[in-house]
Amino acid sequence: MIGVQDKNEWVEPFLVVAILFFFLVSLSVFFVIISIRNQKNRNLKKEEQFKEAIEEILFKVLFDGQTYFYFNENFAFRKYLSQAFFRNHLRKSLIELHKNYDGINALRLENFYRESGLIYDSLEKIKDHEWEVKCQGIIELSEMNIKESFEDIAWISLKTKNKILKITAINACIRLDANRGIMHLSRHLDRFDVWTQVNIIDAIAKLNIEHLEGIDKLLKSKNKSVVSLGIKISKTFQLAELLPDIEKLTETIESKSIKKEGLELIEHFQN
Amino acid sequence: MGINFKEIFIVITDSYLFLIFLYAVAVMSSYLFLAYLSYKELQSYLKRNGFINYDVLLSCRFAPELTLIAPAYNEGMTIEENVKSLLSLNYNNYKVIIVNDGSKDNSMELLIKTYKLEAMELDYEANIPTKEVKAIYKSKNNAFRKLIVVDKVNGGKADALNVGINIAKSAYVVCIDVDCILDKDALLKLAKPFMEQGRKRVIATGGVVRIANQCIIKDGRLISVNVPRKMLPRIQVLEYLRAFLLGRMAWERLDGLLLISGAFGAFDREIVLAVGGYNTKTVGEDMELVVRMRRYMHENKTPYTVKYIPDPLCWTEAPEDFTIFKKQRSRWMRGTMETLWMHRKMFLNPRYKILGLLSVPYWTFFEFLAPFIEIVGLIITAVFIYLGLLDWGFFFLLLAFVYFFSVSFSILALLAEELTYHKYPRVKDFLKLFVGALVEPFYYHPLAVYGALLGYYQKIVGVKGWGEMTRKGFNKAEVK
Repeated sequence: MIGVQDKNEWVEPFLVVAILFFFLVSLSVFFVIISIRNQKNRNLKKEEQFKEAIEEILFKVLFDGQTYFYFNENFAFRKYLSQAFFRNHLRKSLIELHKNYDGINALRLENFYRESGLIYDSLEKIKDHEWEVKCQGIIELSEMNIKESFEDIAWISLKTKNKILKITAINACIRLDANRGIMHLSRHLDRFDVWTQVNIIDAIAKLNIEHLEGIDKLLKSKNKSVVSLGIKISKTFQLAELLPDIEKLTETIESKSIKKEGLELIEHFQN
Repeated sequence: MGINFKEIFIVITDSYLFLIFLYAVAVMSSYLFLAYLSYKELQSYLKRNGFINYDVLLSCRFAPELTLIAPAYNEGMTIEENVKSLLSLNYNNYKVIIVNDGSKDNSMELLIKTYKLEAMELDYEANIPTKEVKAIYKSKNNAFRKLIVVDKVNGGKADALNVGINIAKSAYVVCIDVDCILDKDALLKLAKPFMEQGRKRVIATGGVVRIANQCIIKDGRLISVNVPRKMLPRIQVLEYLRAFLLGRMAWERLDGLLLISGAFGAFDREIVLAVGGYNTKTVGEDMELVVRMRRYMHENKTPYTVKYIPDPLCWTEAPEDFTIFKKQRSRWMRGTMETLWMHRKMFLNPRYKILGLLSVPYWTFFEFLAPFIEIVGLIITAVFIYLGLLDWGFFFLLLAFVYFFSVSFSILALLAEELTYHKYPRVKDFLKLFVGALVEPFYYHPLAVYGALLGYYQKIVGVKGWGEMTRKGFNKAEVK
């Protein structure tokens, strides 16, 4: 057999090196796991340390109406704010808190988000080349109701091929401006699968809008999946006023699945 | 010219050791390659998953209807609670079919009493031929309207699943073991791939199965994850981590997944019916069904895929003693052999693409043949020791090579777990698993090989069926 006679020349050294390699890998991975655990514990402690300070700041903003400029006079706050770890936690806590409020309280938190410059971190994120960072930025901007970011986010939703980024951006547009966001859907050329459609419907449902606009435009779209979405929205929100549009659609459309969806909806409305 | 037997033996020894060495290198390289692919895929999945809101399906009228099918055989000890837990999953559009496969215990009586069942008119259309269905029950209580219980003549797990598939009306069926603990969101996660299908039809979705021995279970829910006290199930935790975190995701990425665990998998019912359902003639019905469905799609030139969810969605009890363990491993090996034999046409057949060229050969060489190669190696080693021909230095080097690879691979699986799901946060649990990794090659591996060899033997002598697979049950010791 080729190589057998001279195996001692390379096989044995290979085995020795491989054994040493696997041994070192085992040992290093063991220590890596230990250090990851230690790092997690350190971060938890640090988080705990900042938690109290962050809560105090946000409560003052929320209930005492203090602005960023009040805190900025404090040297410790300025020092903390320059640390990425603190900024990240402050931003996360701010956004979490914002979810629970509307009206003047929400506005106070939004102002703090703008004045403290935390908004710039989010704006930077939507320019990042990593899709997950973009998603994070979009979620932050839409949650903090930064309406002027609508166009940028809408552009991202149209251009990206990444489905999760697309869903996040579409939902953010709907959150920032429901009717404009819905109308913007008719500009999409990519196929929306059922999962995407369900996510969009959920984003609309969360807003409790009394009068939805632009659904008729979706029903007239050349993109079949957008038409299907329009039918699903009509069904979910009981938009019986669209019955004539749906009837017209079922008469003209070639796609069997959409025709079926449309006919089912007509039957649903008629019953 | 005389024949020098000693020289011939030396050449044979060298050749044998060299071949074993090459085989070991091939196995290890494939493991490392799959682990790399799997980890990359896992990272990407977790990144995506961080932005996914499964709650959108909770009240969604467009969520696909799913039917959970759970065969039950002598599960009287736990069936009430298990069914209760299946009825309280987070999903708004599903039914549960419990198929009592001719239990000899009081399972049926318990179900009738607990869920106030009444027999319906027997309207059973056997699209897939099955054993006789005696009765179909539904609850009089509207709170259990999702539940259907079928009482049938005993025919084995595959037959019971086929009955459930015949009765189901939904587009997708989820086949599970009734004694498994499902994550509350399991169905939400299983449904998503079916909703995302585009040009390629999603014909099946599988989920990760984890070991629940010593975990704390309450009301059919997993409350706390612990590492098993006994070494046998503890090493199975490691084995499952390696298989699910460092293997299956790679096969999904390569679109060559052959196995969706029988404990938890969702299937496109139309395709399942088209291929004739589960095969009742094999003990590896879970793997065989996936292979047959894939083969059907290939032969019909229909674009398709099989998806896999790496989240720990299903928790099961691993055998704690060797008697049960060897039966389980024997059955797995027989199932593998039967499936590979039934679908031998696919072996190295380019018509089946990655499946024929990679998945089936991989299973043949590294899953089916591995125990055989090991035992042949051991026998030859014993002969060479007896004849005084063994190169002890090389032999120990080879042993050390395999040992350290095994340990490092298990520790890599622990690292993957640490970086992803982190289900064992206590240092004590991590150290227990680490010790398991050190002990495994001496203690567990020989037992697993023995179980597989038993499978060869039982296949040759024609043993059929599962054998009694008694379980300790979660509720006896673990409930707090």
